[in-house]
Amino acid sequence: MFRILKNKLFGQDHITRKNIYKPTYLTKSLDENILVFQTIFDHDETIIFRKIESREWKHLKCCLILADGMVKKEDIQDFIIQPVVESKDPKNQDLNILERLSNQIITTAEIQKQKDIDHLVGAILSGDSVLLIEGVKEALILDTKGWAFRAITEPISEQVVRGPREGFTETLIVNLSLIRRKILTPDLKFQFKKIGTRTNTKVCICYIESVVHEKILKELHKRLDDIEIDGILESGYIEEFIEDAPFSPFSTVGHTERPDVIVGNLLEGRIAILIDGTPFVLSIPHLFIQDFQANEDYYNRAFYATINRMLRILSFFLTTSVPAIYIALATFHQEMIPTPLILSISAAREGVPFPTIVEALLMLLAFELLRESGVRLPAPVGTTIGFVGAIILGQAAVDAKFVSAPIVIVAALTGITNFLIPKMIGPVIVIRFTFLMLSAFLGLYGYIFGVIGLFIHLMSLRSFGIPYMSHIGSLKIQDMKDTSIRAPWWYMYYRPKLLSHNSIRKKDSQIPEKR
Amino acid sequence: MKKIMMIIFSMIFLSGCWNYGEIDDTSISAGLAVDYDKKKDQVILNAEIIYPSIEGGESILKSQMIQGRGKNSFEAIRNMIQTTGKKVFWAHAKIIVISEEVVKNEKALMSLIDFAKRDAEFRDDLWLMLSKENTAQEILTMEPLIQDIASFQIEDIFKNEKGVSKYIGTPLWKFVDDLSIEGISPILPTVRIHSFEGKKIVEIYGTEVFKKEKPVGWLDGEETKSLLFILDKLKGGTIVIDQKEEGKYKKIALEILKNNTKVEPIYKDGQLDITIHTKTTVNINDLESEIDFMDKKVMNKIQKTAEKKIEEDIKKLVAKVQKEYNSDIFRFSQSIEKKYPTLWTEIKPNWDKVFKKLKINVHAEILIRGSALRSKPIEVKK
Repeated sequence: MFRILKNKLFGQDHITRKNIYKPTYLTKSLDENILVFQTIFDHDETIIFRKIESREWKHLKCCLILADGMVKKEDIQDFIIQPVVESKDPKNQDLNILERLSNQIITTAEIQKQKDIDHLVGAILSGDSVLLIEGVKEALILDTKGWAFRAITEPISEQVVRGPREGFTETLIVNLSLIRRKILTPDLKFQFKKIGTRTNTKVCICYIESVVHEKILKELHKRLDDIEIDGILESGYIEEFIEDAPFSPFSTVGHTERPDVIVGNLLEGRIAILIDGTPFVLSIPHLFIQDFQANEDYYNRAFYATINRMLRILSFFLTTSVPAIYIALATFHQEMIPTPLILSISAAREGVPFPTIVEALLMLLAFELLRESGVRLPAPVGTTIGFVGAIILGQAAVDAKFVSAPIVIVAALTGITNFLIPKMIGPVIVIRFTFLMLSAFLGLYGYIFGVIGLFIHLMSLRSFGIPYMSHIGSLKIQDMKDTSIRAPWWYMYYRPKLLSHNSIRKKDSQIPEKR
Repeated sequence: MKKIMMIIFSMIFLSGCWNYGEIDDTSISAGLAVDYDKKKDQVILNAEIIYPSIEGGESILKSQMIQGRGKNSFEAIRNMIQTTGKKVFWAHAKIIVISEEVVKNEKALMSLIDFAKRDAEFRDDLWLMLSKENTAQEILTMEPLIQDIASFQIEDIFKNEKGVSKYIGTPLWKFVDDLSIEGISPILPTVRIHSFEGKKIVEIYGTEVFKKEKPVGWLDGEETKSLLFILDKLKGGTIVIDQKEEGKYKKIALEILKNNTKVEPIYKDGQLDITIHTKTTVNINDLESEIDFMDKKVMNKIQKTAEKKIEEDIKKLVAKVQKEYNSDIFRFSQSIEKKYPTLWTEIKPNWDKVFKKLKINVHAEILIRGSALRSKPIEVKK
């Protein structure tokens, strides 16, 4: 019923709007052209129509169209309006007006001729100025972009002790410059796309041509072209459209805020997708092991980096499995707990009203609540929440015999280890609660089922054709160099084999000689 | 997809939780004492139950005895619930003490061993022992010295048996194995109570010898050590020898560091002999006199005396067991079967007779490696 009502009220209007005559190309008449743009930008008062005439050159009549706030006004005054106003009547009539204007008078860095109205509208909206000229069927697009953007700062989500301290910003062109500055080769390619029927968001695909795998690049183009949505506000939109396994808790598209990470990915043959308006840059293909790799691993010495990686892998196991194993041992397999420990658990559980599984669910839920409440609060309040959580929920709950002490240890261990792999927090929560429920129903038997199921799922995943778990089940030394261990740089002379058709990074091992 | 989801959900939520049980819903047992009531033909089980209790804000462990009676072991165990209310959890039980009454009654012993081995909760490695007191219950009601729990203290005694070598810990599985292997017979360590500073404490000492499931006799601590020599289970302990020096006997204690025994049956001209080679590494650890053992001659003398003592002890023990008990606790039959399989099948039917007449040769070898931290005896100067 609402649909019928809606059609009656708005349907008619919709049709009439669509039927308005809209020319596709400019005409010779300046006034007509101005009128076209005025109709397009009806009710938009940020669009400025500035008429300019030359003092001496009587034929020259133009109109500058620009979007307020998107342009650098000083540039427009100095490089466009002033030269045009002060231009002299050419004695030589050979040169046409357009050529003379663009070559001799206007002094902006970038200039472009265009007669397609849609294209011109797009240029205006993205911060360029359009100069319409009387008696000419084409207009000039002048590069006057200049809007306020955030300075380059260290990303809060990925801080490092050793490594560059710059992060991407919300401005696409700045982000591109950050990448370009690190790879000084014409091999580095940037391809632009516009996605979003309303937002017309600029998306840039970035790769190194001699390293990238063409099939992956082709597939990415196809998937991006298939996207149909009205707006893209963040890279997450695109991520969900192009990922391989939409129902998996694991993401097959990586994201980062750090230029050095993206450049590292590009050098391995991966492709980066930069989206205007967000500092988060996507990279594909994304493999399981990448969530355990931190950029610092590659800057620190190999031994330290390897230890850190193993810690992260261990913490993945702990954060997914500790509650499940505790529940399985404490409620099904008491014979597997060492005698002194079972006695102390028994002592701690004395007088606690809930079954162990309810205790575990309560404490894990409390932890997730604290985590989520702390995330978006300003830092000082966040710390307070941490203290409240630790003291009130931990100590007081045990004292009040609400939960037993071992379960607090389990929840705390689970929570702490979770933060070692920050990019996995999402999937880890899902796995942890699934394992927990399985082992609450079937003990270790159920837990093992969960582990098997998880592995089958992980092994079945692919990211743009590359197996998600590749390198992990492998026993080849070459494949293991950058997985749970990080081999020294002089020893890694291949790129990941599947990712790139050109897999030799450097000729051979360059062990520094003893001096 | 929907159907599969339905099946998964009903599998999880409509089924029960197999074997689910909270820790605080069971009483954890540390040990078990088995007695037998002749008049009523009943098995009496006494379990030591551990429970945490809070004293002065700190939780400490305490234990309590509970009793169950029944026609057999399993019934007695289930009858315990009548008094405790909670099911007794046996997976953490460390010891089973058996009284002599039980051992004498073949049926009661086999029922207990069968149940303990068959039940899923009892561990295979819990220690079996025989009480030399009137009942087994007395052993568990003793006052523990260092531990809080009597059963745990007895377990500790077995864990550190290699330092003493005067008893042999027999785990449940070993006892069952020995019963079911042809030819050999099991042994059990014995436990007794004596008082110390007004406290009743337990002591493990000696070995009960079985002839299959029947008890036939007892060996004391020194004999047990010789038994350990033959079984090649000796890992420590001491040998005290009397060294004749200047017409007087002086005691010297040797610490056993390492021992290696080889039992070899030799069949020659229809005669079956057993040769036992022992090779023992020792330290001189306790000197009573001012013997200068740095002297090679003295050293050799000590060595000879020790070797002779070991040989004599082993011979004496084998002779005693052959004559009085006629039970192959030395596993000779196993070494015969290994070396002469065909011979073993021939002599198997009358192994008892053969065992009684076996000739034993013993060759002991002692290697004195050092003398701990001192190289010279302490000289007492006047």
